[in-house]
Amino acid sequence: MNMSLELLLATPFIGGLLTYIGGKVHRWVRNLIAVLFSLATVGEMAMYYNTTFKGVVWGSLFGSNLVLQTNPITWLFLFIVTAISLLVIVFSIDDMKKEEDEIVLDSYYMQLLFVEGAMVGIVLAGDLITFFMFWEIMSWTSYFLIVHGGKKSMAAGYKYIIMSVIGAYAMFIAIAMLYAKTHSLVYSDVALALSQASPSFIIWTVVLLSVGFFVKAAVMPLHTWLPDAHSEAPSPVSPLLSGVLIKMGAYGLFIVFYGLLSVNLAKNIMPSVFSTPILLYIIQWLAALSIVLATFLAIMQEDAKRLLAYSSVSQIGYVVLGLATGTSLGVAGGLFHALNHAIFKGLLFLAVGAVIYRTGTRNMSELGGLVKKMPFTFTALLLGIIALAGVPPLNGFVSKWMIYEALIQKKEVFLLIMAFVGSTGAFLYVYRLIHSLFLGQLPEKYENVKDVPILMQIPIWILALSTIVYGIFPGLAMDVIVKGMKLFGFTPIAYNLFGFPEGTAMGSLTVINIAAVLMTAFVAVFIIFILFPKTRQVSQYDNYASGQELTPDFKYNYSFGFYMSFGRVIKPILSMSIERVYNYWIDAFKIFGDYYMRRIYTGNLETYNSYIVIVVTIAAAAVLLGGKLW
Amino acid sequence: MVNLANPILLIVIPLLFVFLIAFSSAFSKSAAKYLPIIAFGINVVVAMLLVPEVLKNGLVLSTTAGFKPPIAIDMIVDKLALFLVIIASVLGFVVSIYNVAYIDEEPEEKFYALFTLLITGIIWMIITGDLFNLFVAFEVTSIAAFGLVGFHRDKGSVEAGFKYLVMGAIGGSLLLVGIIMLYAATGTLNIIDVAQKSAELTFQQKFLAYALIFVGLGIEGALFPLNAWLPDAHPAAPSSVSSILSGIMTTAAIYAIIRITNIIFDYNQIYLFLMFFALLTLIFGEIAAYYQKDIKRMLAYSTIGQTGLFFFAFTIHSTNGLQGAFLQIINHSVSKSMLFLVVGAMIVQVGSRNIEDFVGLGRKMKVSSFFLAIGMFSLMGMPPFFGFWSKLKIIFAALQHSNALMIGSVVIILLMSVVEGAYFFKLLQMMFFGKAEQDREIKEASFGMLVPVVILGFILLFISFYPTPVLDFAHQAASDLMNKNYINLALKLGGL
Repeated sequence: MNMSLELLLATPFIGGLLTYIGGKVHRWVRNLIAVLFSLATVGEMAMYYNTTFKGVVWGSLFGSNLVLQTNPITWLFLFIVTAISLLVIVFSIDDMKKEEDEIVLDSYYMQLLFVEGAMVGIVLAGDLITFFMFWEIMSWTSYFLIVHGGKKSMAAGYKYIIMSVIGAYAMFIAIAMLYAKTHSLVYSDVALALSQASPSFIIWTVVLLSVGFFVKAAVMPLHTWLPDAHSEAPSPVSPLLSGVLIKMGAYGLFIVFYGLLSVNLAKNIMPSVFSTPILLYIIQWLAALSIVLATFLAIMQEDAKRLLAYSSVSQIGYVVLGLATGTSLGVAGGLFHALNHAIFKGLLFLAVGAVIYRTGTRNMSELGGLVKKMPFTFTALLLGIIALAGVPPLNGFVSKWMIYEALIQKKEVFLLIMAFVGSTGAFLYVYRLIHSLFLGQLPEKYENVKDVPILMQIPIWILALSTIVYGIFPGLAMDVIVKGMKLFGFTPIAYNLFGFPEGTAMGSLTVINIAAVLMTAFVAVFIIFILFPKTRQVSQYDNYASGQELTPDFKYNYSFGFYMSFGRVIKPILSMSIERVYNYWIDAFKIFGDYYMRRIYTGNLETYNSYIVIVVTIAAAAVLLGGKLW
Repeated sequence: MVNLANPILLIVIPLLFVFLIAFSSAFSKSAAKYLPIIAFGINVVVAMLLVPEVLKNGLVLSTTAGFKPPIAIDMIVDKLALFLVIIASVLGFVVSIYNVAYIDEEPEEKFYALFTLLITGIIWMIITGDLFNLFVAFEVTSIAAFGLVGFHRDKGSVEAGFKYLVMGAIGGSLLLVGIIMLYAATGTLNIIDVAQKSAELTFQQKFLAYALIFVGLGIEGALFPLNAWLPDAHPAAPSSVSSILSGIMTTAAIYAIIRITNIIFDYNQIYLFLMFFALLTLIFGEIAAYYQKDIKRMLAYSTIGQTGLFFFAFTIHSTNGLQGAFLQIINHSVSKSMLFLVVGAMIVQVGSRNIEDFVGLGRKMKVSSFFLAIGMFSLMGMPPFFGFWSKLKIIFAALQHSNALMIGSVVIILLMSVVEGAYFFKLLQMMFFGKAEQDREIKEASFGMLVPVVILGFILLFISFYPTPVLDFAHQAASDLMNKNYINLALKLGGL
């Protein structure tokens, strides 16, 4: 019997328990166990990488088998999950030292490994019960991680768990409906049953499942938990949440639309717009709205982690937009962007975490000029923002290009424009980020800041290198993606190590060439910049400072309200808030509920006895009416 | 040799101990503390000895006084009853251990006598095969509970006890009238006999009797709007008593409703009517719990909500639904009893029932808080805890009938689960991550109070990670009840 998948699934959970016990011995024992077990998970993942396991039954519940399975796509996601988790744990060792209560740290590492295990479980699941079970475990374990971040994080975590539970229960209804139909929730059985089901049934189940995924993937309008949760969580947790956890929503969408449903089936049962089934088309629009609106919101943030959090909403929009195109290129682009986003957003969150570690603040207007003090973190963050902005030769470029190309091929102009707007807006906010943190003027109090310890540098280095590697050699990832998509019935894309060869209908791209052109242009501009310097000497009494004497605490550059003029333009958009609508309903529920509860449970015995009389009277009336009360 | 696997021992032995406890103070002051542990320890053993018998024959039947049914009083233990008897005995045993450390108020021997009587009454209600005995057991349970609720003798307890007394007495009378009417119609009190004879009666002839029995039991079983005594009585009672009241007493009353509905009133239409009650109970219980500032009151309202949930599962009226109901009963009994015990220990340390005062307890009382969290997760139905399996079963069973009513009900249930999550997470968050303003001297609960909590916690964890036997057993019990197998079995075993 081959227990490899069970072992892969169990390793993080066992590791979590042992970590907790190890913490009782010594904190280094605990850290060592945590690192070793996450390393072991990566090792097991690497050992079986790209092996296909079909339907490993690990249990049975209510007549439905509980199954684990793999295909190339699951390996892609497993790679993201296990690798980022390992890096996060290594980063945590130094970063979380400031927490003096050791028991909190013990449970912190335990929860980290549990979240990892739950995500491994989601990806390995071969049936919907397993999937749902690990989904819920992921929700509550990650909730505990978020609330580790301090006072504000409690409100954020509360919002997160409530929204997650609502999303999960939407999925639950759909799963129960499917169970009633098939009595087996193994993916292949469900797919078979769906192919014979009525269109309305299919649409209901798919919509309900998607709601659950949208909450987790933070697709607007269900994103409201994310900016709070991701920014308030401890620094090492944010990359896990932003980089990996929200990708589970994307993975779920992929499984539902291309595993359980297929594009052909979807086209048969619903009308198509731009040769996309209408449901997918609506999802494309939601994703595009996420891209644009979240980008605008990110531009206006003053908090570095909140900026990155909104950026995550926007970037996951690209993933979902790609997945929802339904064409080979688009879906491959979406999947590849999921990987790329995990890498560069993990990198950015860790780099910002490193800055927070040294300075203790994430308010961008209080920072600046750290480039001389933390050159290494600066370089890493620079690579991260280049990747995020989608500039070749780093990894964000290729996947975004694939998504654009897919949209162009489908002639979906509006969506394409929105995607472009999001990408351009990304330049604005990433520039804001690096400028406010590293460029400009160094506040006096940060004179003694150093770069972060080596254990925190290693994860940042690894991710920074990955942005380059996956940027120049997209073929490394396309290998798995294309192989996997073939299993789901997509036409394979032609690819090579450096990009996409010419002569296919899919469009062609070689990153190296583009990068070379770009580099040449950059070098040319740089030479011009060096040759013709344009600096102006400003005397102290110039009107730059309005005649004021310049003291060291005087800011030479903008740092607060960086894009204020742009903010005025998009003000009408920013003033819309879906959160207010939610809060309105929550308040209504609270007031309404409180009012009626006080009137029913009055504490008055006479009232209570009258209830009994009423029920008996109704029963007697029913007898007089001949038992016909319904 | 005496056959220990005799249902009658389940009642006789604790009843004997009740008298022993009442007189024990004459000989030894502290004997009263430990006698209930022995009594329910024996009960657990007897219940365990019954397991193979019940699995073999499907049913164990015992009669009294050398007569044959329907004249003689008989005890019927089928799978469902056994299932509840085990829960009741184990809870009785565990909570008795808790009492040793918990109860320090005089008159102790009266408390222990009433406490033992309470659980005896509950077990009696569960295994009786006779309607009049059901009434007697009901009254025994109620009277013991009235006394225990008012045990603290402060203003709140006395008031709560009085409210409970009045409503319970009304319930008892209605139950008695209902049973009398049924007796008048059928001429017998034996449940198996009634089941056979009432089949010839028309709907109208039975309806009023059934309605009165339903209302009478519904008061004890916390069905809305008859449950108004509960949110007062559960917080006012000592925590160990709340644990029994919440964990098994309301459940026993619901069990009686399930039995009687199944025996005399198994009409499809009635289930719709009952479902209406169940959903109202669920909605009002969960929403009211959300607003509570008093932790025990919150748990009491949550009990109402959970009762609504498993009563709903029963009203789905299918084997799967019943299985879900039984699973949820186990989940609720174990988790909620454990929660009341933990909370009782915490109240002793904190000295207040106000939720605000529980801030930061997660760091001070680590073991207790851990088990509190597990119990709450299980009640919310979070995997991998047992509540997840039972909720999964209930929702699956409900959606087997894909009509608008069922889908609407499922949506309501899940919305109420969200509300439940909202108040449980609020508490957990406050306990584990909140910081108290001033540093308080709070110690971990005493060993004697921790042991029962840990026992229940491990039972919960065990059935969470190894649910298969429980799931199977619940399925068998459900199909026995659904197909009325137990009536045929009882007839075969000389039940009539």
